[in-house]
Amino acid sequence: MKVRRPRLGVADAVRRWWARLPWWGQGLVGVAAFVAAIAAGAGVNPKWQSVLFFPVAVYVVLALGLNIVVGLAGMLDLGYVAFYAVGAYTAAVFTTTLHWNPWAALPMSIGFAMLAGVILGAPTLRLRGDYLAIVTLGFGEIVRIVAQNTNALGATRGISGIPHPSSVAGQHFRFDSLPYYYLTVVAIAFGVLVVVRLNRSRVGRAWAAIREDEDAAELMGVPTFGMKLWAFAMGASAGGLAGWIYASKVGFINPDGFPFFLSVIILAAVVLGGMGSIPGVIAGAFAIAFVPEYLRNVTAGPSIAKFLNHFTGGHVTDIAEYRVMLFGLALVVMMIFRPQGILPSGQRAAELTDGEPDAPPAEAAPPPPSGESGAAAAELAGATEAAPIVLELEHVTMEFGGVVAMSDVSVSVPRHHIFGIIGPNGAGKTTLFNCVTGVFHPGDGDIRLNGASIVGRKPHEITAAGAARTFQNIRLFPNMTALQNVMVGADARHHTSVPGALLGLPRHRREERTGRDEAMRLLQFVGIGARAGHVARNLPYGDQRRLEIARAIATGPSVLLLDEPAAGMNPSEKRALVELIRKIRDSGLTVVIIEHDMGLVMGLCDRIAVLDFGKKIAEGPPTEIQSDSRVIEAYLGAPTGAA
Amino acid sequence: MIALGYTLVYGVLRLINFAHSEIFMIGVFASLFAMHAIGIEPGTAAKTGFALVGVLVLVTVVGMVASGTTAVVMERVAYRPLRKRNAPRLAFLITAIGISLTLQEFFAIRYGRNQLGVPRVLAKKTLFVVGGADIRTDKVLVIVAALALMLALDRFVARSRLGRGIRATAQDPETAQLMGVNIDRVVMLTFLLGGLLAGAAGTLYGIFFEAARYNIGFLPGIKAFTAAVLGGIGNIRGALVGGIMLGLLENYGSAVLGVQWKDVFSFTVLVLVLLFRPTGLLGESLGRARA
Repeated sequence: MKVRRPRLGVADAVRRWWARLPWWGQGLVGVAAFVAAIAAGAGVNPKWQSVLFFPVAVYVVLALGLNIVVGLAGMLDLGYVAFYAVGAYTAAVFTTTLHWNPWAALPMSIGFAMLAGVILGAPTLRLRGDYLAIVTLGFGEIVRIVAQNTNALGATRGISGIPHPSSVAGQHFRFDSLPYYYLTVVAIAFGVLVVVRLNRSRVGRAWAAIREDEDAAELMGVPTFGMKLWAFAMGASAGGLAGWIYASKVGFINPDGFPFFLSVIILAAVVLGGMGSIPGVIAGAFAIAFVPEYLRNVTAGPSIAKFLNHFTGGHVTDIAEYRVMLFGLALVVMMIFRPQGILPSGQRAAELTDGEPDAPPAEAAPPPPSGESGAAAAELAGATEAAPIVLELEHVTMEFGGVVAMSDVSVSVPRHHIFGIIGPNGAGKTTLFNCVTGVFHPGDGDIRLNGASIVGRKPHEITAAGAARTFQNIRLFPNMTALQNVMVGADARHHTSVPGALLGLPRHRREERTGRDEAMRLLQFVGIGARAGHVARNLPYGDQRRLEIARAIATGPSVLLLDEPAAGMNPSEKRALVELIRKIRDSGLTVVIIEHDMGLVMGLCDRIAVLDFGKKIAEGPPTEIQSDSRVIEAYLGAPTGAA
Repeated sequence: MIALGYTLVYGVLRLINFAHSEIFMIGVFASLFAMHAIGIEPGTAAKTGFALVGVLVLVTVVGMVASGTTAVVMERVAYRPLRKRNAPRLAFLITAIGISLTLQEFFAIRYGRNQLGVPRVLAKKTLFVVGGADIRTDKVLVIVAALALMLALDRFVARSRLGRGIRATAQDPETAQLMGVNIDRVVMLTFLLGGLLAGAAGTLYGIFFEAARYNIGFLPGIKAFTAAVLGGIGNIRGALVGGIMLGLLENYGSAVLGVQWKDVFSFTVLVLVLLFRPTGLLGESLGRARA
């Protein structure tokens, strides 16, 4: 397969220019765009003003909201219209049945939509990909059918007589579209601000990490479930807001206003524009909302419809009939030819275009780690509790449907040791790691970290409690830079909440800064500081291993679990690795290492446990292990008869 | 039976083919046109004896061929480029939705959005009554056909050489390829099989409900998916069990709550199954489902 050359189009040039702008410059551009959007409203021919409000502006709000879910968190939501409906119905019920002021109903609309998001999300977000898509689709239909069959919601007739909001800032909200358009532009600006803020915080990093490798993200301390739920709730609230705006402008809603294909149209807007990219999504929503309306009103419209009739054999005069079909077609075509969208976001483009890793740069040998950065790591290993045993497994048993992967294994890892775990393939070594890090929950026994039991806790909680790991087959976030990878790890120790990141609270800013500094220091510590800005999948193999170690240390563990870190390394790389591991230990961490290279293990470890068929058959210092008869038996076979 | 098609395609590709419901819809339409073509119009007397069998077979074959062809074309045009590029799952899903909409709207525009009647080919007589339920000829036909197809598919996947290829691909495409399985062919064949089944299902649906419409595939599609999930997706016999279970649950649910909640009920079942037993009643994996 040929490697795609990056094409430097206008979009790329703009993106580069944008990336180089200082923050105030970017802000200025944003304000300019906002003013332009407001001005455009007044300047436009009154005939188009209504189109500008609906569908254009409303679709933009919806697309921005859906973009949080699909574009940022990478979850396919096919029932997004449900939240729009919830928002609209909430507004309708509160203003008509309960006679609330429409403005007072606004927070209710957003709140109820958010609530709906949480109600749907809480049980279903454990599902992935396809299942989630179909469940959300079902949810969208449930909401519509419920509205259709509930008399309090007007059943099929819907609710009419929804009052317009009272005047604000000289804008009178009646039938005229312009004031609503202004309102919607304000909402869009607000939404963009929220998304930009989040995207640059640990929340955005967490979403990116989830998109790339959800399991690895969880193990690096990302509370994946919570982060996904936030994305869902925030996307939902945008839908609720749009619903409120729509209901108060139109004054009348019924279930037919929220069909399934509206979800798909919004999705098309997001995909067409470019998932994850704000300008892209706005452009996409604009295209999808505006183009059909435009064609409908110009003379070319009917002739295009006639032209299409040739292919379909239909007898359609209104081009709008073709709308959904063309959007469907657009989705297919886009996925084949330009999956990243019209105005892609840089990182998402990389994810969506090639599954094949580029050839790594030829130069492989990492520069020897500089001595001084050892102090930095010592500082990072914050946990210096007095307990002499860091990690303790007591009679741990793990079964998979009758197959015993680990049985009655007890291991104690002393602080500041390099502890080796060896054993033939299938002996249960990685299972042990998985039990410690919470991927599996052992059927029996207890695991204590710094004296506290961690059995049954979620992986990200265990990571936060001080056990971080690397993976046998490298699991970095391939399309994020080395620095971002490590920062995801560093976020495990941070406490910024989503609202905190949103408001840019002092703690958030402090943590962002220290996180970045620490991540930089760690990259230098493992010897790949020069590669901080490189995308992880382009790093040479040895550097990827180092990066994984740096990411794990960044979570601030008291014990570091390395799963075959030397696999696939050449002798000189292995020597450098041994040094690195010693340095990590000297900086105050405890290291548990699974490794097959006996020379490496014997030379490096202070103490070794040997597993065979899920049982611990020996434990002790390397010299003892080397002469242990059971170990020799496990590796070389039992001495039968004369042998 | 649609569930069977779903299960097959999903089992091999780990891909939910949203467009499957449209393949089904095409089956309904194709069989309808086949009826028109051989002169069966609404009002024509129902056939009997050999004529009936002949008509049924012919119509079913046409439906199957149409659906199968559509499925294969779909695979070649839309999915293969994605597969070659190793695209993420999201891309497949979006493509599937796109295809689904395109086909649906195409039929809507071409044949109108209203319901078309499917002529009656089979005299609907009550054969016998069991526990207050009428067992009609058309019901017997549907059940017998579903069982026969399921058995045939089960045998095929478990026994034949291509079936082995399908199972191998389901478990590990790369290894299968290295072992000399032509993945492209297997995937295409899977789509073809799924399409054929959907076509047969479509034909039966047309005969049973005597109606065709552009969006006819949507609800059966989702329900079939629910059934496939309920029985354990990727598991051929599970699909049948799931289908029967869902049918029973749905009718029971609507008897208790009222008919208008019927569809809500099946969605709820879907959500519950996914939450509490995501592998379904009979477990996942096409590879492990042995005869």
